[in-house]
Amino acid sequence: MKRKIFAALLIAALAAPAAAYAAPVSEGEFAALPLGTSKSDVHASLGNPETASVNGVKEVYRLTSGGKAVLMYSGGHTYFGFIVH
Amino acid sequence: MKKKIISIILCAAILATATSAFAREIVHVSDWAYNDVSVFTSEDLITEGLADVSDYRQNITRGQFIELMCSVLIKTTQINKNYVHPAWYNYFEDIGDNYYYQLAIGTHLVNGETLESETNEYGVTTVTRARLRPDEPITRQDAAVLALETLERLDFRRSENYLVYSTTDFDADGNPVEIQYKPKLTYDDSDSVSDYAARAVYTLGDLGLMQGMGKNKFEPLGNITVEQAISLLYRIYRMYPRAADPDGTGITADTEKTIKTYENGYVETKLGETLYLKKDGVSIPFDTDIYSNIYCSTASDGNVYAAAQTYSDTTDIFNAATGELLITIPAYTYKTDANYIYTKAAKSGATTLGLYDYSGKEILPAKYSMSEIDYMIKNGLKEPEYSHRAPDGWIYYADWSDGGHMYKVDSNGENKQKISDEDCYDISYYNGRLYYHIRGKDEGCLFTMLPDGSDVTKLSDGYCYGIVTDFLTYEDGSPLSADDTQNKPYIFFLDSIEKEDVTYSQRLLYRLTYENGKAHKELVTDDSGYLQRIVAKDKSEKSWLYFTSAKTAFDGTSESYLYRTDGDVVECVNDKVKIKYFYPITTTDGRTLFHIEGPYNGETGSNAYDYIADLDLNYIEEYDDEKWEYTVDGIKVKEVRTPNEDGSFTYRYVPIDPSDNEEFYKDEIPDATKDDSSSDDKYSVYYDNDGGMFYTSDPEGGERHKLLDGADISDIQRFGNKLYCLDYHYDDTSRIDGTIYSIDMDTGETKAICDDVYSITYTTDSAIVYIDTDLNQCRLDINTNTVSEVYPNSNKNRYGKPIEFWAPNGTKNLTKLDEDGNLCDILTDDVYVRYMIYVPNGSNTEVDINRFGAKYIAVGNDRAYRVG
Repeated sequence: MKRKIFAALLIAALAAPAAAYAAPVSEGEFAALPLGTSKSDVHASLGNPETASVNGVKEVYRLTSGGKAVLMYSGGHTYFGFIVH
Repeated sequence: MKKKIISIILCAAILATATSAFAREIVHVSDWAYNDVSVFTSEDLITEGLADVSDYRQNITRGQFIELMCSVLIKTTQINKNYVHPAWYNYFEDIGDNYYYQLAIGTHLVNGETLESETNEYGVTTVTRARLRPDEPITRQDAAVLALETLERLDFRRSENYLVYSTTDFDADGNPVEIQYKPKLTYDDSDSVSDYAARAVYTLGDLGLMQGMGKNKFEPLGNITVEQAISLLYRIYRMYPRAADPDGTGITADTEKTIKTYENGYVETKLGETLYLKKDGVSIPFDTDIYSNIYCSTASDGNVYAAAQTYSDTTDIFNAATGELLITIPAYTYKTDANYIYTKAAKSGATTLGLYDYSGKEILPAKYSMSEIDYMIKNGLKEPEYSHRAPDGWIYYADWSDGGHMYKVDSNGENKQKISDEDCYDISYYNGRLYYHIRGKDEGCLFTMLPDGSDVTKLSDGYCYGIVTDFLTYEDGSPLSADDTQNKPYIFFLDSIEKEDVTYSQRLLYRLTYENGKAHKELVTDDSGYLQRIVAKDKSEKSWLYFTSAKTAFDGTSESYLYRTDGDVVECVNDKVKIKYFYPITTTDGRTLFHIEGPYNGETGSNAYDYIADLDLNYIEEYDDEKWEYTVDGIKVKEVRTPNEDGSFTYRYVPIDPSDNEEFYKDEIPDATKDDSSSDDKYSVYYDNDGGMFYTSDPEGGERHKLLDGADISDIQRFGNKLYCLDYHYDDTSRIDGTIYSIDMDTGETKAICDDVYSITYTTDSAIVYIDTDLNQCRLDINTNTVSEVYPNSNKNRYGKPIEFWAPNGTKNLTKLDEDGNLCDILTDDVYVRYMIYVPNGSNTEVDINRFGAKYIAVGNDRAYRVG
């Protein structure tokens, strides 16, 4: 039983480290983000992502419209991003 | 100097254009397309043409589609990204300076729309004004045509799937016959599909790459969106034979599905767009827009590691029990085991292999050596565009004006240094060392030294009968012995001991290794007579080095047999068949045969005959050197070759007497109950024969048909639906010149398209490069049938674009030719260059290396690729 509890915690830690405090962002706000922005500036602008990958290259934001938006990082800066419909 | 600077700037500009370093925007995509678009972007396949497109749900233009198409083909090294030349596209009025449009035209990916043309004295029409219409939306059927072109370029050997819709064949009288399409998938609006697009539409449909728009309609004149185009091209990109398919490709996982179970009990599953690695209730997620492939192994240190391959050619190593990300290694991983992470130098194309351990230490770099590249070329393998080994940038040569002493000079002709006072010849460079023979004392002995002239080591005690450097001792991609990786690949050489009191010379086969930087030779066998530069795989795919055995007597009467070694084990291949000499014949359809010279079946000495044998010497056929004839099943046949559309050849036997056709082909007659439409094309055989004619032959015992009379026809090539050949003309005593003919397989029309040809140097799918009777080197563009770019380079096996170093006969010059093929620099004018090799450096210069008349490879900067 102890092992299962650990596993559940692990999944949560890997998949959605910032889910508890992530607020949705507007589509326009996200689309206006210049690519090449540093991760800290992104967080300062959009807040924490809903989920982030362990290797730090991907962050997913929830949109106020109900969709999602994805940012990909390279070298600590946004490399490309998508608004998914 | 100014010219050099301009060249460097131009090179840099071209290279910069070919990469995707451009401003992008955050884009809108549909949910269904997100993963394909994201991965396509991660793989750096998006081009500048889409830089300003913020919504991938909108229609893509013809130009944008062409850019993406070029991007896929550049990434997979199927087109030469520097293949742009104004002469090839300056008659297009609407392409501006777009690099991708120029490249697509230069490599004949697209033809464009002809607006004006001219006809030359041979009646050949040449386009003088054309347009591409890059800003217009592309129709679905046009996208299919370009997508199929991409697919066919990726599949170098063109499997039968892509030939299903061959359009013509010849009937029994040699007349072209239209072949009816037999698509498995049809549409209710088939009548709307244009003729030129039908093959593409139905082929892509049958391959599941591009299907209808619902209600069983293809809508050929409808437009295609950016995300649809990316998804289509990404599916084609993934079909590239050597690109690994991501885990779970094609699996739609609304509910969790098992992808694979590892030996250590871990299970990989897929749910939605996420892969999971699971065991004992622990589950590690891997998003498929970040990771393509997962590998899990229990290591010898007791830990379980997961290697997760990213789309950016790095691999994240996780502790599979805790999910902790441990390290990221900068390599493409293709498997793991208890000790190593196995890597490739490149994701696509033939590539060398390397090793990391789980601490992140690189054990074996995945890099190419020149010997490996040479091996790949000689064996018809595709070489990668990127070679990560950095050669040292020097030219090594023996100076005839200075007693054959060895010098080196850099590629700018500067920093000349003498590195050996010996009279040297047969200089070669492998793995950071020079190998050479010398004259005088120690005549013919093999020596090695470092490129600065130090650490001179005599390797052979007697005359060295050659070295073999291309024996790659990798088995299933891994070194044969993990603790011996520093010594691979082996260098083999034959030493000889001349004994005065006996009538033979004993030959010793050594393998060469290095220990603490010092050359160290190990005897493989003292029983070797004749060494061959061959690496051939047996039925279990293991590679062997072949040689003949025993003490070869000078009178040729002693018995010798074929042996082989993997570097460790020496074994006799066949103790029944006696062999004097042999050499390999590697055919382009994958067969490796031995040409052996007797004695055989009791024949001895000068009475020996020639034979063709398989690798085990179990299959042996008599070989007639003059007629190139064999006897198969009691029927006299000759080997003929069929030019394939990709420039390779398929070899097969054809009875010499047509009356033998029925008996010979009795087992090959197609089963009438089977759909054999795909085999129509491959049974057409074109070859030159007695009297300089060539024929077609069908497999069902039909007559052979003369297509063209000639005095001495040779160099038959097929590109697309056209055959090309060279017919030599003679006077009473000698060859005068030749004419290149083209034969349209659709119409049967035969044209003389070029004369005053001395010899054909080589061909590509777009041009025939030949030497004219004034010994100029010329390029005949077979798309336009025009001759362009004549270079006064004498009878040299090169074509003008790459830079080359040259030592003209009768001069003391070592010269450099610029990218136009003209002499641009005399590096030194006081040297009779006796022998020269060039070890390319890290400059931005492509260098054409004549590999001794084999094939051609350009090596420069950190790239290596075959010209054309």
